[in-house]
Amino acid sequence: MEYRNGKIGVKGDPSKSMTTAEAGFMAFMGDNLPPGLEPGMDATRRFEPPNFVFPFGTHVCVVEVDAKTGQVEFVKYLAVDDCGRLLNPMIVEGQVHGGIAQGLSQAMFEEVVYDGDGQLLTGTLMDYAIPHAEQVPHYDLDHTVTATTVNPLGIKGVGEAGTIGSTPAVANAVMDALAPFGVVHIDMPLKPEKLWTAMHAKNGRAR
Amino acid sequence: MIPAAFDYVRASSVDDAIRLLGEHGDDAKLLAGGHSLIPMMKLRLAAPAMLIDITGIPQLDAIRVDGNRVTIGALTKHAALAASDALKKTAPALWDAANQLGDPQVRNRGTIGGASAHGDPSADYPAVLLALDATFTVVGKGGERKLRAGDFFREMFDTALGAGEVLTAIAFDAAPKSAYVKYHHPASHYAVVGAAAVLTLNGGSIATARVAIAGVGDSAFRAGGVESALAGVRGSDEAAVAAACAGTASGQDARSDTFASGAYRAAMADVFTARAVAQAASR
Amino acid sequence: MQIDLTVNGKRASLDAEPRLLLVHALRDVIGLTGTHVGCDTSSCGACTVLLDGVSVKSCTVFAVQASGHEVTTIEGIGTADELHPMQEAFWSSHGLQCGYCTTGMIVSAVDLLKRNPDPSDEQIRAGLEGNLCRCTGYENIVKSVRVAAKAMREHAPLHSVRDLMPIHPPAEEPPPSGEGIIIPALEKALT
Ligand SMILES: Cc1cc2nc3c(=O)[nH]c(=O)nc-3n(C[C@H](O)[C@H](O)[C@H](O)COP(=O)(O)OP(=O)(O)OC[C@H]3O[C@@H](n4cnc5c(N)ncnc54)[C@H](O)[C@@H]3O)c2cc1C
Ligand code: FES
Ligand code: FES
Repeated sequence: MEYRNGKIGVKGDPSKSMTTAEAGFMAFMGDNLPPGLEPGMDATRRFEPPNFVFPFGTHVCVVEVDAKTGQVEFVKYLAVDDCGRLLNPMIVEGQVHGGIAQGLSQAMFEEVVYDGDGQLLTGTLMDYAIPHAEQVPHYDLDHTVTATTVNPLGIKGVGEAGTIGSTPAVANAVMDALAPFGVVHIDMPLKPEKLWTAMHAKNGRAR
Repeated sequence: MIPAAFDYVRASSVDDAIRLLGEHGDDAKLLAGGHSLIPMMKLRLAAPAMLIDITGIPQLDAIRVDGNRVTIGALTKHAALAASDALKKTAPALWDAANQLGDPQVRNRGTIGGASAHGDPSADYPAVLLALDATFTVVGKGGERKLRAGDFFREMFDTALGAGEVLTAIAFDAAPKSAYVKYHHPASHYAVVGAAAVLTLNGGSIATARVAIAGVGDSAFRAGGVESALAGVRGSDEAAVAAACAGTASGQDARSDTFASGAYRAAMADVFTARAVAQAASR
Repeated sequence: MQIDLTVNGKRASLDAEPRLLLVHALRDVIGLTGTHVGCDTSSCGACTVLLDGVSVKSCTVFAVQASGHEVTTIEGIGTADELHPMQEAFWSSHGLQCGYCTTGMIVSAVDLLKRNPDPSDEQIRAGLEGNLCRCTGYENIVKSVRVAAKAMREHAPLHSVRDLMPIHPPAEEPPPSGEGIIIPALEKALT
């Protein structure tokens, strides 16, 4: 067999050939195959890396908390991640962007609230806050490249890098802002009312 | 989600709309931008048997300024208000509210008449229209009535509009020293708290103030105590303004929901009122 | 009830109940499935179309309200042969991941640039307030709109999908030759 002019054909016989699509269709339909041959055209290979990969990174978030309202504004967001060799840097960055948004949203906005009877109170997007474009900052990204040795491409995962880094970065930034009020911990999501209450409970007065 | 079945008709004039309302009685509802009514119908919180589409009625969608008097047709869209330089000059508080209402698609459909007639306690315009002491022109079988904002807005989803009546216009005196400041709900965009301030100044001091709050009570309300406390205060004196704006929501049973408790809402009403006053004074 | 729409420049007449939402008329009756439904509460903007040239959420408009009016869906924004600069920018700037929000996002962005051909990043974010995205964190959506705005201001030439993504080898390229790929089963079948 040989592959010529975009078609699969019998070597030396130009009259006998078919397109890859035709061959695929034939193999898949399986109604014109020689006896004993199963339909389909699949191949499976398995690769077991000798160890896990360890992507890592650092996320830094700067926020401003309005002491009068507890509302949080993002001032800056920086993330440096290491996912080994970047096969497609554009896609890698997209994954990190999306992950940061997801993670900061967990820290700030998203909450499933039930009432005492088990009735879900945040069942629609009118109550359950997913951030809009205005509610998230611009993200500055960079990468270090430490190729892993446990696979031939030197690649490590990046899909979750943003979500892992951003939740604590945002929460810690807010807690740092509240440090002058003696506040050390508030459960997520860091809704303004909780911040306001914590600031006022410690301080006893609005500034 | 699919609403319950209904019939649909387009009204060609205000009289036509009133006639149709009379014919179909309580089962009929006017349809303007549909951006309060349709979401409720989709959730089957409303199920009118007949919708009378009034958006084709001519001449109800204009912003007119005659000297000191501003008149806005009931079918004027939020987007038109948000884009109006005339409104920005004559009543910046209403311009602020239009620009902060919902999102661009909502502003492209919803109307000031619908937003007023709906009586949503978290809506933005009612507070501004109370502070502007606006006059509502309402037309029914018996002719025309003029209602002041204080009488028009009653309770949650309830206004002074009669069943067979159409709101045609909203008018007010120009209020260049006015502002509306809003605490956006992070999910719905509606007002957790909205504060409207309309001032007259004497030098740098506040001569008269009208202040109204959205989002906190069962309906938007005027904060009378704050209005009198603001008299004589310098608009640029942050501490004095804040002191005058304490207790904006006193006497109100402040609403609470999954985002904000009543106590927090009431406290935010004071903060946002002070900001609205400062902004109005600086205009 | 008789409903006469102009959708992407073509007349579309249907006989439907007044409660038929515009988005369902477009998707289920007319067959234009580029417009999506992402929520029940008019919140997400996945259903955004242009109605008489301005962006609206087609899940919050009855088809009958649009009767006599012009609707432009994502299918009418550009074609595979001539992509709208906004479509090209979303492609080149990786402005989408799962793609669910994308059609609504593009229609909203097109409307935004009509009103403001040179928006700042803040103005882009504010202009997309009616559209939710769960995947991109908005960074590359904002970038896409910025890139499209520049291309439109500079009247950059339009491209086709084929220009951007030559999936099939161009005819003049010599086909892979020589030993080729041997598929034993197929060899048997052919001989
Ligand atoms: C996603 C979303 C976000 C929103 N965010 C906000 C927000 O932040 N702030 C805010 O204030 N609003 C918000 N709204 C509501 C929006 O402003 C609506 O447009 C408005 O409340 C209703 O106006 P409409 O023209 O769409 O009225 P419709 O929905 O058509 O009508 C509403 C009610 O008013 C009646 N009605 C309408 N016009 C008249 C008239 N001329 N005379 C008598 N009765 C009439 C109708 O019969 C109906 O009962 C939001 C809506 C949506 C969908
Ligand atoms: S489907 Fe979500 S806004 Fe229309
Ligand atoms: S790309 Fe997936 S929702 Fe926007």
